[in-house]
Amino acid sequence: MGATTLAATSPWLRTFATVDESAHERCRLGLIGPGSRGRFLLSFLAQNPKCEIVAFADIYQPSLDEALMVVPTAKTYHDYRQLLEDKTIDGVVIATPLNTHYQIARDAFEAGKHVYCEKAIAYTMEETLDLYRRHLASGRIFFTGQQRLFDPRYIQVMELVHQGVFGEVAAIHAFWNRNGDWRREVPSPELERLINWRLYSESSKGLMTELACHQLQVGTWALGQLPSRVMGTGAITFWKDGREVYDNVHCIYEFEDGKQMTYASVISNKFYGLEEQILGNKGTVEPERGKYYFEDYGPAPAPAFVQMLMEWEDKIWGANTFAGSSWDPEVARNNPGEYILGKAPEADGTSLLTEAFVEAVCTATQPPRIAEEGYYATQLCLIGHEAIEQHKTLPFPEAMKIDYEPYGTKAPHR
Amino acid sequence: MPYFYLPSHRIRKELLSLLVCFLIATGLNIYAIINYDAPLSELWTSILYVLMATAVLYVAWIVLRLLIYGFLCLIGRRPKSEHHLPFILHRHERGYRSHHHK
Repeated sequence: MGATTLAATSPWLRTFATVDESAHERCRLGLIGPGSRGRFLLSFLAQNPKCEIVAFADIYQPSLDEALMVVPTAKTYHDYRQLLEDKTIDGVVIATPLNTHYQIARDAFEAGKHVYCEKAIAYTMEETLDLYRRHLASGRIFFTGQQRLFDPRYIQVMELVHQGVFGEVAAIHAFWNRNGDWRREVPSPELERLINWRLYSESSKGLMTELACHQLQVGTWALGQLPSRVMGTGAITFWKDGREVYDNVHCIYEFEDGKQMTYASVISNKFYGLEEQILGNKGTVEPERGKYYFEDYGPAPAPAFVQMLMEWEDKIWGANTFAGSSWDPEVARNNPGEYILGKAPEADGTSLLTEAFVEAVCTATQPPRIAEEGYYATQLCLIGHEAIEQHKTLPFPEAMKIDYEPYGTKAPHR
Repeated sequence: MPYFYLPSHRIRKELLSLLVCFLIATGLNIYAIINYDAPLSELWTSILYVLMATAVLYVAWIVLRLLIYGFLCLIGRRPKSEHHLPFILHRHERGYRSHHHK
């Protein structure tokens, strides 16, 4: 996909439209952490004609071996710092365990590399802020793994939400449910914490950093603001197998104008799967399903005269006014909705995200909003985790705000 | 076989009652259209409901008058005029004719 086509798919990639076609450009990238997620990214990057994958770094040899099956010509390193010393490499893709992101990304910026870092971008809020500042100071490209920012159905639906097509959005219900232990097979016991790093608190903050990060960003994107407070609870309720991170988390993010965003993740029941339900007074959006539903769907309302008579009847016979008639429970409406893009979703935006990163590196152009959206997504999942840990309602710290006009936030004076 | 005859002034009176009932029903429809933010076209499309409501109001008005008449008769205060009672033959009324007994 060329720069112009890419720009057309994403409103904040229009930056590329003003840059000359960079078809002759080619960037050289290194992949740090070619585990399962890293190889998924590699599957797109390896097919991109404007990108050459020249090196892999990982401390786990089987991951390197599998990556070499995709790009046999790449060099391999067991220490990522050796990869960063290669002056011919323009940028790096970091897909390592969460607790290692900060040091690797920091070293990469210091080595003058452009950085794509998987979400969440750091283990603590302070590290996250420091990385963002280093991105600004270095002038290097900074992308995070928020692929929904590049997904055409999200882009389309956000435009509709912001135009008020679904009315006033009062709340967002985001959830991600699975039924599985989230474990990877471990060839020998000493590798347990290395391979199943998502389950241990030294290397992960569990569902909040691995799953919520995507969906909280969707919420702030839809509402166009940052929540002011967050409360939450979490527990290990089902998978009591020695893990240290919660398998059951629930958070509420409250916005200054009273709007609410809930986040829930349970990994012992998958019936409802994942979704970000955007609830407007005229309609609902379920972007994961790729659909929207208008409130006035269904048979046309009764004539006003009949409605009035029914209301009088209710007043006379005492209908249950707050929960509807007892013989008509207010269960979900059977509304098939409409596909946002006219068809069922086929991809999640990762392909476009990697293409955009390659284009950004080739043109040395940081598109607006990408780093900032990734920054706040990480901060929101980290403060949600903190609220769960402390069993308190926590305000979003002023010290962690950055200059970001779409959310009306400003960095505190330093 | 009883013979019923409604003099023209009684017909006019009943038609007037019917018109008042129709106006009340139409007024209620207009109120409902405004209250429920419904399209103005419901002025015409709901005409059947309005006519039904007119009939109900008119019947209610008859019943009410019968009740009042019955009550007044019960307490021995027969009303001076029975013109408010429709469809009842009053032999003493002006215009009463019985062709059979001519």
